[in-house]
Amino acid sequence: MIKQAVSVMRKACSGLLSWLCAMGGVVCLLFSSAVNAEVEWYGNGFGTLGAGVLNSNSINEVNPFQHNGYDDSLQLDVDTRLGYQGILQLDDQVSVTAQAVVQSSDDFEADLEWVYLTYKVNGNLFFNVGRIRRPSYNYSDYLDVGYAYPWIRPPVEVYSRDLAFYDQVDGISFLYERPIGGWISSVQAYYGGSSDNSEVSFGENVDFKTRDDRGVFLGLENDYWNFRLGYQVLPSISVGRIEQGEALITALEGAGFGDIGRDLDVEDIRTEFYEFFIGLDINDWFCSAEYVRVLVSKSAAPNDEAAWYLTGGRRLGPLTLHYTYAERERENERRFSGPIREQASMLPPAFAGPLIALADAVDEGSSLSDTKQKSHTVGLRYDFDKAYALKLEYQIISDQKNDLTNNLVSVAVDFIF
Amino acid sequence: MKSRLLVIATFMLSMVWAHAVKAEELVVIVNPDMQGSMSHTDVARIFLGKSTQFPSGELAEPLDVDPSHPNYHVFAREVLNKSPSQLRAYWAKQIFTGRGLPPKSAKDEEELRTLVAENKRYLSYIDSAKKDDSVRAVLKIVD
Repeated sequence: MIKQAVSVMRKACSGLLSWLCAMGGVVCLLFSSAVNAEVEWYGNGFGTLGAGVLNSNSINEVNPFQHNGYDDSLQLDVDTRLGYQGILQLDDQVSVTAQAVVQSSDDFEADLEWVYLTYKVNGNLFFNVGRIRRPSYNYSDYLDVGYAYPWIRPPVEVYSRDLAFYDQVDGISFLYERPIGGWISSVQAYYGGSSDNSEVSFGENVDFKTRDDRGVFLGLENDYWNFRLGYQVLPSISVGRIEQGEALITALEGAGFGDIGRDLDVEDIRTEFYEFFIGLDINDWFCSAEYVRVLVSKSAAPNDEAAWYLTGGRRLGPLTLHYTYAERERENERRFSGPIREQASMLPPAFAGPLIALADAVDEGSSLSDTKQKSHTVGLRYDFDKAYALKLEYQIISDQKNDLTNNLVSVAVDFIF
Repeated sequence: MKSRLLVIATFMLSMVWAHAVKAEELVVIVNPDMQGSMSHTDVARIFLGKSTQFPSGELAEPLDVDPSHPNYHVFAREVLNKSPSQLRAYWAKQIFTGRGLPPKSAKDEEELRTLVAENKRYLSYIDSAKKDDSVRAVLKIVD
């Protein structure tokens, strides 16, 4: 365990170091070419101190993704986080932005959210190169900045970690904005890949890799309306082998059943991600809705997931009162153990036994993540000081698959500095 | 008698004037070299960082008054269509998504006027009573 933690830390540090060196190199290069320009540094921070408690922990037992781990004792380490962002403005066109966030739910491990170089071609066209955040959702770009939205956290049914896959991508993106009449239209696109190390349902950390990821996002807004349409495809996600799997596959290969072994490999999974957002903000009333659909194919455990929310509220001076309804449904098409069982019948029993057991375990894992959930949330935001907001929320969560209902009470203070 | 009437008239006029000042009429100001007028939308876009150009295509940079100044609230409400807390949330979003930084600000209107008078890029807003010939008004904002 400690060994693993050390190796992860080492990886994180070396990753961070190589990034910093690369960025440092770019910065030095730019400095030397722009010595006469006025270099400016801007630093800004944000944070959330949040606490919450569920009236029982049945939902948590069923779905570990919910609320990142609230249970029936008061938890401070779920929504609490601290972030800092620095922008180095090298000249009118070039800047370097870095943002780091420390999450309590991540054992206070500092996470370099992004480091990128921005090249502003003109007031309407921007290019970013580096580690950027995948703009999967309307709130993706400022998901950690609670101060910038009314909720304590955007609805988890939609903004869940397993839906978003990996929030960071190493690559290139551009943003083009253009006014049309009273509207501002925008096109944003990215290309890149990512690699991460995450815990899977086997309780073991596994390396993930994606490549050739791309997405395009269209936006249209005016003083009142805001529309966003997104499409992303991650055509090739590879998941590293877990230890048990590795041993089994090696054994199968050794026995001349390499084909079956390769069937067990989780490589070149294709994921498509669709998103639609609509928002209306008029006088002191606002409402918005967001819908996402995730299709996972070419996988041993393909699935289809859809989630959406509808929210509305009213601002009364420093107070904001809001209500949100959210829903999420995920179905796994269990096609994993079927073919394996068929092929296993041709194998010597010494292989067939563990193979079937593994296939069943994968199926069990995916059936556990079958979800049908809805929730109602009422909340109050109070901007009690110019850089602080106090938030209170009451949420009724229904797990319809298991016929369970739970209530979550949470409170948070968001701040910027 | 006549002099008394004059006094009353002056008094009434000054009341009207005082009332006009109380209504906090603001003017959006640019450098006198800049031509053309601007709409609420044009001004709002520049102050919200959505445009970096005057309608003429020339580079524009907004200058804000310090948030503690009463004009800040009037301008936010009437032109940007946002309450001060909404505006802070908006800038938090812009800053932390790397899209932009809030306009630079000055403590008082005299400083803003001087800066605009000296630089063609600048755009700001002051009390209409504080406007002089060193700057040009492109838009009136009535509270």
